[in-house]
This record gives sequence, C-alpha cells and structure tokens, in this order.
Amino acid sequence: MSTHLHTVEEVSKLIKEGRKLLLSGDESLLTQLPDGNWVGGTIPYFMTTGGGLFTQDRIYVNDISDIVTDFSIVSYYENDISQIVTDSFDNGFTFIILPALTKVWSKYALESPEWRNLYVNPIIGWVSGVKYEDFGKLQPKTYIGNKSSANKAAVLHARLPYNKVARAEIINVYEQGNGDNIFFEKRGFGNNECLINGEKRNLYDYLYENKIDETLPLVANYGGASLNVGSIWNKETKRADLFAPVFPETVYRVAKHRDIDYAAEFKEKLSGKDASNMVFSATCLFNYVNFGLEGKNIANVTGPVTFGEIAYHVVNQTFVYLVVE
Amino acid sequence: MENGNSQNISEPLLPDKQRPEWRLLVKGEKEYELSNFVLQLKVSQTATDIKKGKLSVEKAVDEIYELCEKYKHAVVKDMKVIFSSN
Repeated sequence: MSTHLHTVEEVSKLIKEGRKLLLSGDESLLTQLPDGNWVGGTIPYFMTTGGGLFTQDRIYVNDISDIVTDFSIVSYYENDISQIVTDSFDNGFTFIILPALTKVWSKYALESPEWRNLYVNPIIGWVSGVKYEDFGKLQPKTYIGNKSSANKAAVLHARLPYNKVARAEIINVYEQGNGDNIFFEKRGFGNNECLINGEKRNLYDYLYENKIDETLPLVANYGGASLNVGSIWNKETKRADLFAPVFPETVYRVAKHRDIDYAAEFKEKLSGKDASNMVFSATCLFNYVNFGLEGKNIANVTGPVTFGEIAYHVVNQTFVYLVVE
Repeated sequence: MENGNSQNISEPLLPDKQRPEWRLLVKGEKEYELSNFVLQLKVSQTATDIKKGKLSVEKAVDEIYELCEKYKHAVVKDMKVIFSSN
C-alpha cells in the first residue's frame, strides 16, 4: 500500500488501474484527476518522513486496495449524514471527509455522539480545508471521484476480510489542566455562554481576562479519553470561535500548558499503543503551526494536516489513525 | 485474567457477562483507567444514556460486551484493569 506524495500523473495512473484511494491535496490538483474509486479532500499541508510540508504540487495517497474486500463510495448531505452508521459494512471501517464550516460538518459533529451505533465500526477521517491565508476566501471541498462538493461529506465504506478488524485511535498531547471547570448549557459551536464556578460567564472574556494561552484547547474527559475543542479568538467581536462542538453535562477545562517537546511527547504516547498496522493517519493544522512541525519528522508518521480530525467524533489538535489487524 | 480455561490460548476470552464488574463499568459507578479509545468512548456513552434513562443496564452490558468481543485483542489490558481490581 502506497502512502506517499504523488504527482497528478502518478495518481491518475493509479485511479485508471482501479485502485481504491483516499486522497488529499490542493484543489488545483484534485480537480485534474479522472473519475474512479477514490474520495478526496482539499488541503495543502502534510506530515511526511521528511517532516511537515506545505505543497500545492503533490497529492497525498492512501491506497487501501489490498486491505479491503468490498467498498462503497457515498456522498452525504446534512439531512442524511446519520445514515453513515447504518450504511457501513458489518466488519469494516468508514472513512469520512467533511468540508469545514458547512452544515454537514456541523450536523455530524453535533449529533454523531448521540448515535446509538456510532462505535460499532470505526469512523476515521478529517475535515478538509485550504491554505491558511485563503481561509475565508476559498471553500474547502470534498471529492467523490472527480465530482467535487463544497457542502457534502465524502465517505468510503470499506469491508474487511473476516479475520481482520479495524481500530480507530487518537494521540492527544493535551490533557485537562487544573483550572476551573467550564460547563455549557447548550451544545454547539458558537457557544460563548458558559458556567464557571456556578457563575454565567462569557467564554472569550474568561479566557482573555485570565490570560489563557490562545493556542490551548478546552479538553473534555470521555471515559478517560481526552477530546479537544480548539478555537480561534476573534478580538473584534470578542468571541472564541470553536472548531469542535461543546456539549452540556460535560466538564471542560483549559488544557495544561503546551510547554512540551511535542515530538518526544508524541513518541512516548505512540510507543504505548500498538500502531504497527497503521493504514491512515491525520493530524491538526493547529499542532503543525503551534509546535512548528514544518520540516520536522514526527515518529515517521505521515498524512494530511487538517482543519479538524475525525475518530468517531470531530476533534481538534489531535492525531487520529486507523489500524487494521 | 480469569478465563476458566487452563489451555494455552491465543484467543483471549472475555470474563463472563454475569460478572458484576460489567454493570459497574457501564453505569460509570467505578472509574477505571482504560486505555482502549473506543472502549473509553463507549463507556462514557453508556453511563450518560443510563443516567438519562435512554438505555437499560442490561442492554448497555450487551453492547459493551459485543464491543469487547470485537476488540478482544485490543482490550486485554483493560480487561485486566476492570476484572482484577477490588
């Protein structure tokens, strides 16, 4: 299986050979590809064995042809995205790309945690984006073969042989800090109204007044799993715009400081996991920027660097990966 | 981990579904230091749904057990944590 960066010509050849591909790259490249058994999303940032890389000349390829026995490629709008759980194969995994800041992205992020069978088969994927300087000017896209969309999820359901099983995992270098417990009465992305020590507060005001490092996510504990909610502060509107939703009855705390050696911390956490049969991985653009990952090889992991990651839930500032064993 | 089988097995067996630890686990009444990601998420979901009355304890145990059956190799360490602690 190939997990390299390729030219349009090389990827086109793989597509014409009927390979089943998960692709990520700049829109200018993906739009040149022929139709075929592939799903893709726009993003020009990648982790490679040569380190973090920005490129608009190469497409990142995950070729899953040799590990799946059957597959289906489906696009979903916000009104049918919940079907991805029932549409999955009995033993397999679902790979999903959501276009950032769209209704389908929002719907999936908000509602998936309540889907009864969410955890039956692994759901792994990422949130498509654009070059950071073009954020707000260009629309992130997804692709079902060579058909692009700015508002649909691109999904590949894969069936595995009976003697294989897929497992979705995360590595999160952030942990809940020891500060105030933050609660939100309503679920959502736009929530800046929260309860802190029993008092209604504005989230942006609280973070700003307490001189919280803007790069630190809020962290929630799900049965021991730390899930992040990242934000971008809008100083004009005095809002913390969230990149993952918050939910009521969940305790959030600002993450511990990020004065850490990301590479060392990442390697230590990876060493505690069985990741020897990794078939896909993605990490967050926030981590790429905040930890200066450009040009740095991190444990030889490779994959797109994205506007959000999906390991069942939409998460931020997290490394997600899929193992088939 | 007790498995009631004296043979040297390559396939880990799950503890009997009637063990009370399964109920403690799904209700979130006892917090275990779990390491398997999907098990962590599923335990969090079942505990919340039981508290809200959306899920019975028995059904929750069935769902968690089925998950652990699927990932029996990946949850060996977690099974030791759950079923060896007092």
